[in-house]
Amino acid sequence: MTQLNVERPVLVLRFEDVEMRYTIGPPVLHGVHFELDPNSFHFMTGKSGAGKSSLLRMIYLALLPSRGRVVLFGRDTRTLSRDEISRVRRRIGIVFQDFRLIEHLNVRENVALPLRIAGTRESVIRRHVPELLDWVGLAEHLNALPRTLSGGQQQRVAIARAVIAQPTLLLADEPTGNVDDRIAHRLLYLFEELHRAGTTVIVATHNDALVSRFPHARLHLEEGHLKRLEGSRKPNARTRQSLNQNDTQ
Amino acid sequence: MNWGRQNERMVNRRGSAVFLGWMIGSMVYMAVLASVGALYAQAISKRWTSALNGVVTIQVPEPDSPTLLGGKKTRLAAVLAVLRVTPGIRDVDLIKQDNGRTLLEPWLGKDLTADLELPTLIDLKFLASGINDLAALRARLNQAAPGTVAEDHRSWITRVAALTNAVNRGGWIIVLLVSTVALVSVIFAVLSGVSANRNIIGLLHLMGAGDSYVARQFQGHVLSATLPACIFGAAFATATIFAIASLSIDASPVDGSSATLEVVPALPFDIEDWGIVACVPIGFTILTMITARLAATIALRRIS
Ligand SMILES: Nc1ncnc2c1ncn2[C@@H]1O[C@H](COP(=O)(O)OP(=O)(O)OP(=O)(O)O)[C@@H](O)[C@H]1O
Ligand SMILES: [Mg+2]
Repeated sequence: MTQLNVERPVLVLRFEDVEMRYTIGPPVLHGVHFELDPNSFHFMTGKSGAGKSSLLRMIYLALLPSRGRVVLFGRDTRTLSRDEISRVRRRIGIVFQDFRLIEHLNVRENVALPLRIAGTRESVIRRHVPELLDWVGLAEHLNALPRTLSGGQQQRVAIARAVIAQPTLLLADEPTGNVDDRIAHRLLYLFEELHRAGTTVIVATHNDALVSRFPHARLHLEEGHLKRLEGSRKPNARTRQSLNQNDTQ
Repeated sequence: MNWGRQNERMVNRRGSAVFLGWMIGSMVYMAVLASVGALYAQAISKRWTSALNGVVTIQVPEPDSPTLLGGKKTRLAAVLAVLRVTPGIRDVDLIKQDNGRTLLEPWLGKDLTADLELPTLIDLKFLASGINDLAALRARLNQAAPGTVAEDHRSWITRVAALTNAVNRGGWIIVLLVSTVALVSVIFAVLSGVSANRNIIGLLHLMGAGDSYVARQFQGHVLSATLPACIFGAAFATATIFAIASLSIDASPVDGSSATLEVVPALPFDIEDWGIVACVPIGFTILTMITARLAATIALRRIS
C-alpha cells in the first residue's frame, strides 16, 4: 500500500531567500529559505498576520516573490507559461481559509470540480465524490447549497474538494478553524492518509493543541521570517495508531 | 441530480441565457424566412428566364393565301420554310386556327367565326444558344409573307428577372445582417458572463483549469441557450412558410389546366432548396458556438 519512492526524490518545493511584499506596505516575508521533500508533512504556524496565507499564495502561484526564487516541482515559478501554471496547479489541492465554494453549485458539484477539470470520467466522479463526502460526515448534504451549511460543514466541503483529486501537494490554510476537536482530528487523519499515499502536505493553523497532538515538523513564521521546528513524536507509529481508531475518536 | 447538466452550470447563467435565447430564436426565425424568400425569388426568376426560350410568337395573317411571288405555296408554308432554315430554333409550334376559333366563338358566335380568317400563330422555341438576330428574321419573314409579325416578350421578362434577382440578393443580405446581429449579441453575452463570473473563473484557474476549459463552460452555456432557440426559431419559421404557402395554393386556379407558364409558383422547392434553408439554423448554431468560444478565449486572457 505504501509506495515509498526510493529513487532520488525531486524536491517538491524550495524557497530561495524569498522576499514578498504586496503593492502597498512593507515586506510581509523576507529571507524565507526552506525546502520540502516529497511526501513530507508540515504544519505552518505563526501569529495572525504573520504571513501564512501569503506564503501559501506564493506556492499556488497566486503571488510571485518580490525577490528570490520559488522553485515548484523543479521549476522556477517565474518562468512558467500560462498553460504550465494550470498544469502545475492541477497537482495542488488548496483549502482556502475562506473556503471559496461556488455558491450556486451544490455540495457534490463543488467537490467534483477538480475531477472535472482533470477530465475524470463521470462514472468515477459519481462513485468517489459521495464516498469522500461520506467520510467527512456530509453524506446527508450532498445536494445542499453551501450557504445552507454551517461554517464547519462548509469547511469540510472545501477540504473534500481539495483532496478529491489526490494532489501531489496539499495546502490547507486553517482547515480546522471552524470545527470541534473531534472533527479536526478526523480531518487531520484524512490528510495523513493522503500523506501516506504520497501527497506532500502543508497545514497552516493556529490550533496549538492539534500541532502538539500530531507529530509533524513545523514551519514557524515570525516577523516575516521562517523557522523550521522538528515534530514532537515519531510520525509513522502515531499515524497508524490513529487510523485504526479514528472512528471512535 | 443535476449531474448531466454540469457544464452549463459551472458558470452562473441566470437572466442572460433567457435573453440570448429569445434573441437568437427571433434571429433564426427571420433568417429562415428571408432565406426562403430569397430562394423563392430565385425559383421564380429561373422559371421566367427558362421561359425566355418560348416567347417569340409569330402571327401570319391570311395563312392560306398564296404568296405574292406566285405559285401554289401558301403564305404559311413560305413562313415555315424560312423558319426551317433559320439556325437556333429548336421547336416550331403551330397553333391551329380551330383553337383560335373555339376561343372566339363565345364572343362572336359560330357563324361569324366560321367565316373569319384568323391569322395563324406560331410559337418559337429556341435552342439554348438562342437566336442571334430577331430583326433579320423579321425582315426575311416579311419578305416571304408581308404582314407577318414576330412578337418578342423577352425585354419585360428580363426586367422581371432582374427584380426577382434583386429580391433574392436582398434576402441573403438580410440573412447576413441578422446573423451578424446574433453573433454580436453572443459576443456581448459571453463578455458580460465572463465579467459577472470573474470570481468563479479566478477560482477555476487556481484549481488548475486552463482557459480552454473555462471557455468550454461558456460555450456550453451559450449552446444551452442557442440550441433550443435555433430549433424553435426554425420550427416557427417553417410553420409560417407553410401557412403562407397554403394561402397561395388556394389563390391559384383550381382546374390547373390552363397555364403553360405559372406566374407565381407555389413553393417551387426541391430537396436542395430545403437543404439550403436547413443550413440556416444549423449554421447559426455552429457559428454561435465558434463565436462564443473565441469571445470567451479572448476575454479570459485578460483575467489572470
Ligand atoms: N491582499 C493583500 N494586500 C495587501 N496586504 C495584504 C494582503 N493580504 C494580506 N496582507 C497583509 O499581509 C500580512 C500577512 O497576511 P496573511 O493573510 O498572510 O497572514 P496570516 O498569517 O495568514 O494571518 P491569519 O492567521 O490571520 O490568517 C498582513 O499584515 C496583511 O495585512
Ligand atoms: Mg491566513
